[in-house]
Amino acid sequence: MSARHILTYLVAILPLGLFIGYPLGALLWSSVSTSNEGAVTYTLAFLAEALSSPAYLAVLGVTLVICIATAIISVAIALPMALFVWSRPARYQPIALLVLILPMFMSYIVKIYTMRSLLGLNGFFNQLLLTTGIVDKPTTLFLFNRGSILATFVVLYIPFAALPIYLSLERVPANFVLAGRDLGASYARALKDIVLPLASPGIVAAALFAFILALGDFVTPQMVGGPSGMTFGRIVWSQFGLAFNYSLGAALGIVLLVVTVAALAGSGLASRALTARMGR
Amino acid sequence: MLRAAPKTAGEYVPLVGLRDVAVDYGALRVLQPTDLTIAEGEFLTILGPSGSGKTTILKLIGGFLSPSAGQVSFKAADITGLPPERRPFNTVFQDYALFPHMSVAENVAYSLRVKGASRSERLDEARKALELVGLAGFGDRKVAQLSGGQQQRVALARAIVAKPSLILLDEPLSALDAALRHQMQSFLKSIQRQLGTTFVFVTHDQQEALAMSDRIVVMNVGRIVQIGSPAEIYNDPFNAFVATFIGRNNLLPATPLPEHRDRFTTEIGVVQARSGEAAGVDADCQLAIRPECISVRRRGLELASEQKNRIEGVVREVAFAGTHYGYRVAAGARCTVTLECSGRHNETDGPLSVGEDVEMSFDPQDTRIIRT
Amino acid sequence: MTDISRRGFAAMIGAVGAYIAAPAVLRAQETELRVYTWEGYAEPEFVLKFEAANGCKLKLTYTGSVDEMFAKMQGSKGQDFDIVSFDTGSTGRYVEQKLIQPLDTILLPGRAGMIPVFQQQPSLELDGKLWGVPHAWGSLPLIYSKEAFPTAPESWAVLWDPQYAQQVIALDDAINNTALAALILGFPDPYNLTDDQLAAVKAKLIEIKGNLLSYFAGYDEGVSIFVDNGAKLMFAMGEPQAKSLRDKGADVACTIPKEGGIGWIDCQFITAGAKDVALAHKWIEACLDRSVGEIMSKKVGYGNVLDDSLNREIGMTYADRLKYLARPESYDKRIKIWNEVKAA
Repeated sequence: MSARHILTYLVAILPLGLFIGYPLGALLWSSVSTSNEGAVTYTLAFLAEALSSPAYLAVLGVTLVICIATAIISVAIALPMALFVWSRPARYQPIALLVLILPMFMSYIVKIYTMRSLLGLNGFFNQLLLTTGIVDKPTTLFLFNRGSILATFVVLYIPFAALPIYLSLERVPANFVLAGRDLGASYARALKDIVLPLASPGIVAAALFAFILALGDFVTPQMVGGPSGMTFGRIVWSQFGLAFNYSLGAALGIVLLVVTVAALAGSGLASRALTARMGR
Repeated sequence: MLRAAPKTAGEYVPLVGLRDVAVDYGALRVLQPTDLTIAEGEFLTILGPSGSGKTTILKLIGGFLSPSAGQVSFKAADITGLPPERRPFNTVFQDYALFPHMSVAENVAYSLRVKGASRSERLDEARKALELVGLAGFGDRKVAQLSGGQQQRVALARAIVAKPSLILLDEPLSALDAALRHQMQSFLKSIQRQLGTTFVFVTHDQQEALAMSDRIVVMNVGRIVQIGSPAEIYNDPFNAFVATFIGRNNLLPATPLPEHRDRFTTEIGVVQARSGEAAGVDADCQLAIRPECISVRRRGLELASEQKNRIEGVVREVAFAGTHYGYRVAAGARCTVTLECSGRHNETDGPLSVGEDVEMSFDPQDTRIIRT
Repeated sequence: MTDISRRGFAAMIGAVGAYIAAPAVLRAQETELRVYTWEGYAEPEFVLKFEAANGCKLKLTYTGSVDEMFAKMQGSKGQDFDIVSFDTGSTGRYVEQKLIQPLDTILLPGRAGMIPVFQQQPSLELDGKLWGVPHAWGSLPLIYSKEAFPTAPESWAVLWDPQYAQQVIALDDAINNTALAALILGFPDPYNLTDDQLAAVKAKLIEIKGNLLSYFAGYDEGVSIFVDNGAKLMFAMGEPQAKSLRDKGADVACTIPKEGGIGWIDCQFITAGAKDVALAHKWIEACLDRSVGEIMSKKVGYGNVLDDSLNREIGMTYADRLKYLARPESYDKRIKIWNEVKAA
């Protein structure tokens, strides 16, 4: 291997090791070790606690349900949006895409506050219900529950879902829909048989993005979830930020990481299966 | 799969008609009001340079585009507003538009799948169509594993499998190399004969059009300029555009001589044109003489056949083209004549070289009057 | 690179280095006191006076949270600051991690004039040494809507009253919530609970969830949720929240019900890495001046540690009814309980 090759590898691997390998290693190490006055002891107790506590597992279950729902709903909304952008004339697509992903550039906190004021007791939806006479007293049904977590997640992560879908649609030649219709398929049928299978890697990526972003989000549940706003991300955060129990935090973090990696692997398989099956 | 023999000449059954059809893109009129009738069983080529409106006509027939005015009909029915999926036509796209996530057989059988045909029927029909296009046994392959020519055949198989009334071909050969293109031309023609299906073929390649078509529609800047058989188009170009776009031609500006309506004054002297054809030509016009119709000999040698039109000139360029020599000869002060000497015309005793004085002659029968 | 340009390059690096280093060198000639504190605790009125009197310069760094402060202090082992300010509940942690040093009481004569409850704080006296000096205090009061409660609620139990379902909000904090529940349950030391008591606390906290509209995680967050959703009762982060609520048009008041309440005392400490320990003591002593306390009470609204008349003026008459934050028996247990409460 020449010096240039070695340099290339270093340039590629060094940041990878520094920014991914090292934190990952530190997380793993923290989860199996604890230090007291400089004396380090190794133990699997923290991992065992993370995996055996019914309270943590129950929260993990609820969190997964919310995140999976977020992924499904985000994709269901982002897909037609991305299709709309994709079916615009080529010269309008960049601007349409920009509008689609513009919310990405807005502050995350501002968006959460906006959602809260929309859903709140004096918020838009309650005003609407009051004005239309559907309710005679504002309802607290919209905010500070799991539904409002889900709604806010969806609003936050739709652009992140729409972008990969659009990018994979962009690789589908524009005349494939025409070709499908030429062969007798309706527009919807051509989308289903031809465009969606080809865009399925993007659709799976979109679901994955929404899922992982929601899984790691510990601010939204706190801000709009009310008394039921406990998600696994918040438990992890509480160990680091409040309890200074880095070992348990790391062990819980490992659980989250395993779920994420499983989701990644699952989505890879799903993507392949989906493309293959929908083509038939 | 096989159909009845193609309709014999003269049996002219209209299949698709365009009536006063025009297309506007905003303020831009890309297709002037146009009439066109396509007959059942014919191989019709729409020929024109890019931007001439030929693809627009194809899209109108296919239903991919709605006309701004006019009517599209199929047999007796008005299909102007009918979407592509409800027209009994199929298209071979320029880039084939084969679906990469489907196998070759799945691509071919897609229209049958949409119609709800059973899997066995689909496989059977796909196999037959692939056999017809010479791709027997390719059904299970992935599209990406095929060569350009093979993909072309799959696209054709996909278009014919549902037995459409008409097949639209949008410059399908333009992506192929020259040798393969020639091969595909005769292949397409033979398939069309076998099936008896009407083919509407769009191309900008005049050689392709001449080689394959029953009729050619020549288009330029959003209009149909001339419709006719390849021979008619070639031999009797309607105007200077057709004369030069299809094959090559020497065009000479000409003024009719009074009292002699088939004789004209040109830069290279008085030229006699095809008799009778000049009727009604009083104004300035152009004379068209194809390069292969001009005989040439070294000055001083006798021409084998006495032809009425003779010009003298000096060879300026010589190009050997295999089957013939091409010469460019300066005649008169400003005029350059292009001519070809194939075996039949070569009466020069060996190829000419640049600078030689020559005498050229051509038959009035080969001299066509082009109205300007 | 040629030899000349290499030399030129080195010279350039040297020049850049000198340029960057220069201000630091100049600054070092002036005595500097590095104070790591909270906004409101170092107002210009008394900072400038101190600087002039001692010929020094205060370098102020503000923290956003208790946790940020602890992390930053831990990161530099206390070398980056001379003075640090936090509440009594954290003293143990800092002492244990050797981030602060004991104070010399001889240099702090002003302590003699303090209100007794602040002068003798057990949580500031560890290993027989004094570690910090209070300079402000406050409580985690019950804030109530005067419209719904013409007279102040007598007991914290009102938070559990189903009549006020979806109209109660509470701060999201493990130690404060468990301590409040312990107070209400009548346990003598809310910061030192047995496992059985902790279990009772947990049950009590789960019980309140049905009434709770939401937890809130910050000062402004609490104010905005209260106003936007028409809440009636709030387990608040501090008296200033009531002022902010009134500024937003909510007619509210603070109270410490009969069970008492949770209090906090913010104190100043000298870090283990302090450069000028004598100057640091001077600063702490200067903050014990009545004028400093007056500014902090009247301008910012903190309780005063020296003069009860100032406290009466701003309605903070309950200093001796509060259980001041102390180190709990176990952070881990409290966090676990709090997580379980929230997950329930």
